[in-house]
Amino acid sequence: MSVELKPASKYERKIFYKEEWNVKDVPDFIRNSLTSREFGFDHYGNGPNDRYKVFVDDLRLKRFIKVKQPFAAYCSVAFYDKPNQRKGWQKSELVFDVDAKDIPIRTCDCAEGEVCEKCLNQAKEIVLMIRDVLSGDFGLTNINLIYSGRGYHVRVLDEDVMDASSELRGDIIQYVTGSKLPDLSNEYGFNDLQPFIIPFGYPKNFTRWSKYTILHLRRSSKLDDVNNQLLRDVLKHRNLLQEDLWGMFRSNIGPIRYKKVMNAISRINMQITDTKVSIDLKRILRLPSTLHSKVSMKSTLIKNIETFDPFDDAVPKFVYERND
Amino acid sequence: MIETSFINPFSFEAKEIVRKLGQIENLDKKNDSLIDIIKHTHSQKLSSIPETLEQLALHKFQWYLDKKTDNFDDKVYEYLFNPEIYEYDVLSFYFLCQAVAIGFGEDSHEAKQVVELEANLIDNRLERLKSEPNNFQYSFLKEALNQLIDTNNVYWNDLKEVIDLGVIDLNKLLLSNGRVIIEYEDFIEEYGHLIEHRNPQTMYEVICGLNLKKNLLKSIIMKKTRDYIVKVAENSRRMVEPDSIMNELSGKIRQMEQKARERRFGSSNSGAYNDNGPAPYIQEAFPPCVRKCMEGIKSGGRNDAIVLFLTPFISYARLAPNVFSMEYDMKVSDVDPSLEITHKEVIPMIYEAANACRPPLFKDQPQEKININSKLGFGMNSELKLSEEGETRWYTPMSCEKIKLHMPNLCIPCVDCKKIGNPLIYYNRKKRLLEKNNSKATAGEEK
Repeated sequence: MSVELKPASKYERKIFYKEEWNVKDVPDFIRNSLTSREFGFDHYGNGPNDRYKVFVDDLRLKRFIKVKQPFAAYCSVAFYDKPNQRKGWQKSELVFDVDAKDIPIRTCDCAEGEVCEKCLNQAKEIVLMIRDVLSGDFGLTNINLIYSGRGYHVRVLDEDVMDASSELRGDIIQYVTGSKLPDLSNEYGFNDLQPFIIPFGYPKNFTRWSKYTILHLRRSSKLDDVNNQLLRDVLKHRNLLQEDLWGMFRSNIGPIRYKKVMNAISRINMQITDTKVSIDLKRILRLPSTLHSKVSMKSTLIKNIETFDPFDDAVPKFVYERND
Repeated sequence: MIETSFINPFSFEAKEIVRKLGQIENLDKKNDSLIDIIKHTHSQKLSSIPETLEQLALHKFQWYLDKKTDNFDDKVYEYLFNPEIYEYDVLSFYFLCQAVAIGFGEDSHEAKQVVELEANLIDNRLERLKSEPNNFQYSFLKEALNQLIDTNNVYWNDLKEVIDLGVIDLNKLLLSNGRVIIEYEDFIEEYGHLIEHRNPQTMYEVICGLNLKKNLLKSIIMKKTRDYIVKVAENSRRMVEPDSIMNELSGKIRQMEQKARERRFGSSNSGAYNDNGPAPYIQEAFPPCVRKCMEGIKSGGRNDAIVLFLTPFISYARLAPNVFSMEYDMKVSDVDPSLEITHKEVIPMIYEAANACRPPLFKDQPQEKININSKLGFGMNSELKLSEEGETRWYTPMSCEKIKLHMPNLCIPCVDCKKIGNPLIYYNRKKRLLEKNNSKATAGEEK
């Protein structure tokens, strides 16, 4: 059955929160730190205006949500001494926000601001790549993947990153999403060293992301400083990257033009996640388990990303009961 | 033989030196051994040499300040790179840290300068270490570094504060499961099986090797220096009476800075200092990010682009383009007392860009006008009133790095952006270049 991503009516919200939503579906990593977090609510679909809320226990949170049936519910990634005043910042989750509607290299034909199965799948691929780098390179283990309704949130709760400054988070994003050209300058006379010959560390990660981006480019893609002819050549030769034949790809494009392409690709990589969310230490994020009313999907903690399918696992019951 | 304390004032050996010779009464005593070392330093100019530890500390600070000037003579300070000076160097390092901590506090400009001074000294000394054989460099760096971290067993999160200093790029570290690969034996164990058709040793040298160790050593010492200054500053606040000798030393540092500032800016005719006041817009000199923003931004990135990015740029570009060379927080009224320029030129230009957004910013978000006022330093108020100025800070233009993170769409660097860290710096340089070209063209026409 195909699911239409259309807004939920007030009645549908009511049904969802009355019959389907359960406070126990709020992930443990939030319920265990309820009193340190700020909650925010959007009651009318105009943005989260009702902020600075704090709940001392599950019961209070449950009561509030069941009664108010909010358009959207959020909670802070930050832990505070006084969350009701947003004061006494202790630490913040490290977050990567991959919104399917904002992926810069979508391969689907969605209109701006809309999402479909194809771009949601792409968001999932991106999330998996992010998770691999966070665990493989950074050794992080407390990585929670959330389906947000129109994309995914990667929420990292390892103590090692929770006290990181905004600047350090910026560096981590650049590393994780391969959004900076690796600086391989050296004093040993190797002036033309390319990241793709280095099978480890950041150069490997950069190459992986670049491959992903190039393989997802379309004829209509817009790359800074890359004209139509160059884009055509990239598309013509990109099959070489399936076999990791980067040297041949580069020589077919030409080294100077290749440099232009890689510069543009690194900038695209930077847009794969919403960097503003990651560097903001006081952000509020959609509360997992609640309804994304704009698309009638549930924000859901993902237990197994390999088998997770938003159109099976995040669709509220009322959607199946719609007549139209 | 080069002692590790010549590079690292936090080495075991350095601590021993401080314990033996670090009495404060030695500070202003003439030190014959120090003088002897300086006099016997190769290529050393002998016109003005430090004779006491206090003078040595001040000379080091002077070296740091002089280096930024055009008439810097490195032969005056050759002794700073003579490894034999290590004992006195360590002592002067601690005296200098204490003086700035007690006299200026841990967050002062002077404290930052001392941290930077130490980093520059290490850079220069390590540069000279390059003339030594590779084996020596490796064993020296290994010993120096291992007194600070266990290079076979360090994790990236142990280096968080060090990375925060910005000297080491996170993406220059080889990370595996959180561990940072620093030593060759670990490199081979971790990645050896992945390397084909290339010499692993060369690969190691190029990707990390000595350079990584040098940068790590320098950054860790910078962090430790900062921590030490913080500790001294905190302790000094608990003291009933601050140490008069240290206060005297910090007073001399203050005078030295004042003179350096006069030298740098006093007789400058470069035009740089003249732009401290309002200067007309030269829109031709606007960087690509500002031009893009002026053309209007589409929904999603409008607010940050207009309020956080464009407002500070447009206001400082017109009112105080050289804000980064000033060492105090400015107010708009310092440079535009009647707010005439702000009302007639600055605000209209910001509003024009806001209206060019798709949809126009104020159409659905009129509250952003208040946010713009607040970024100009006039608090969260709907009008710019002098009486409300100071309720918020006048935001300085954000750096290129921050722009890339906050608004990656805006940053499409052109050739002139190379090595520029802030759009306002771009604007100032480009303006100067344009002025230069114009005057050449005029001169050509006159001929």
